[in-house]
Amino acid sequence: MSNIKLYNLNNLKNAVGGDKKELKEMIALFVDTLSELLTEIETGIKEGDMAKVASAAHSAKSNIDMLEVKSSFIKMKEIEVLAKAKEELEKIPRLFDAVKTEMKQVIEGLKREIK
Amino acid sequence: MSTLKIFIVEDDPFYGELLKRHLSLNPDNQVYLFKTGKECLKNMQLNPDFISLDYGLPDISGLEVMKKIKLTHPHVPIVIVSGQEDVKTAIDLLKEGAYDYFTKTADTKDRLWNAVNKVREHKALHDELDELKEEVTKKYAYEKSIIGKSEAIKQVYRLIDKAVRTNITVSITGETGTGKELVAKAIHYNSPRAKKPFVAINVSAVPGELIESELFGYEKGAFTGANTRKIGKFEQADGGTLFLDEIGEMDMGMQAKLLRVLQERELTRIGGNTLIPVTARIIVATHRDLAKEVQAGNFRQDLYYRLLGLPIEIPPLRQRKGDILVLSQHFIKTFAKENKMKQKTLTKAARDKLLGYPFPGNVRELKAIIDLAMVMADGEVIDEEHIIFKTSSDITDFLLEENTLADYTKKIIRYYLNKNNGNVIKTAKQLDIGKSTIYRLLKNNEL
Repeated sequence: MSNIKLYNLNNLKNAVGGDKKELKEMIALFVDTLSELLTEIETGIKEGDMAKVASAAHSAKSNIDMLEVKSSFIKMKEIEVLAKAKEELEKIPRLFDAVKTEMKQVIEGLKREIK
Repeated sequence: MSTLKIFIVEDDPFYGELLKRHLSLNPDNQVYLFKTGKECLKNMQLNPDFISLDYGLPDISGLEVMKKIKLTHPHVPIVIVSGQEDVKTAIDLLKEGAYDYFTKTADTKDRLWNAVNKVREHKALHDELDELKEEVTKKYAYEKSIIGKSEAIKQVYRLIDKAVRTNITVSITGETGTGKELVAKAIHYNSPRAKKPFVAINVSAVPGELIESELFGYEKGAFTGANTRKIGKFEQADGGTLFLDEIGEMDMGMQAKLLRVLQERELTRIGGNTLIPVTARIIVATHRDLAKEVQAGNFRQDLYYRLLGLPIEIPPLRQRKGDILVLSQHFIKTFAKENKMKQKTLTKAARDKLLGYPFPGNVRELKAIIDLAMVMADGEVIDEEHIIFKTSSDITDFLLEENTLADYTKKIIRYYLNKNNGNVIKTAKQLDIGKSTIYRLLKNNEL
């Protein structure tokens, strides 16, 4: 695994005014919220519920952007657009797998930060 | 700094918490986080000063929430935060009254921070303005601004009281320095129009050819030199009060134009075509007897009757001598307070000197005399010598004393005797009267 961080915590640090305790709380909240959203997208894909996929991707996209995980942000945005337009739906699972893999690494890294 | 109540309406737990914590970094922000539109609407009784509203809420759309808020809280600034970069939606929301529209990006929290600061500055200015208006209202509480205990002043209070309850035109008459503008302001600031503008114009101070543009304004290009549109006094006083001081000095041509505007309750700017409604209340003042001016053909009768409304006559100070000492005391107190000095007292001789003076300049003159006396008197008392009348021996002022002919005769003889160091023969010769007359008056202590 590369030692280069996939994410940037500067926005979060800035949002809590540099308070370490609050930063940990916000990281934990990010991990919980994003995990739930990823599960929702996964369920939506399985059930063919594109409205659910679009809605969860919409929220996840902004949260991922906050941590500046650029490639996942772009993919999540694409998932949202495709799900909303119900076009090229076959692309969605592949895009989602890529996001999920990257975000898994991000979440692991974040969990280490708050240990 | 005053506390700002902020509502964040955001269904995403992470994003909502992030915004809440960021805005809470300023201890003057009291931040509430709601996850649904319904929750926000339910808490509107808390009267937020700022709302950050997510456009895509799970229960009601951001637009619907905003419309409902605007029904009960039309002035609260609402910033819509949306994950969509949709220009059309943004424009529609701004048209519906949104304060701003932010797309969710990494710097949204900073943009919100700036928006909140702007609202805080605006609120601070607004609060300051309200306080100032309150102060002005207090300042023009008429018992505090128009001082006096005489029956004549009490009658002025009674008439002001009647004037503030309606929109009737008020015509104030009184000599210079009696406080006509003070009465006009007292009416305005105690009336329901108090929070709207009070605009005053002294007709005699504006050259005749400029008065029309001053009152009605003009459009750009209306005449050479009209480079921009000018809003006239009538429009400036929209919903408030327009005070036309020294209305008796207005020329006949302008009187006709004013009459038409007052009759139609609408005007057009010079060079313009648009009819602008006149909503200002009119108060006029003059030192002249307008009825006499009408008789003399100097003032239009129809305008006179339109302006007469509720007449308030402010009596000259010499006709309410009882108020001289009350006013003097008030001016001593005010001057001492303004200049951080100790208050001073008037000796009996100083009081007598004041009471014996006709005050052709009325209350304004008395104030100037007392201010000067406060400066001239070194100790804690104001004596006769500190009361300095600057009025010249102008015959008009002299006649304002309204004495009998016998009294005037004695005053004249006394003046010349003092001038001639008590030389009776020289005085008699100068005045072409018999020296025995002067001796007789001296003998009887009448001089």
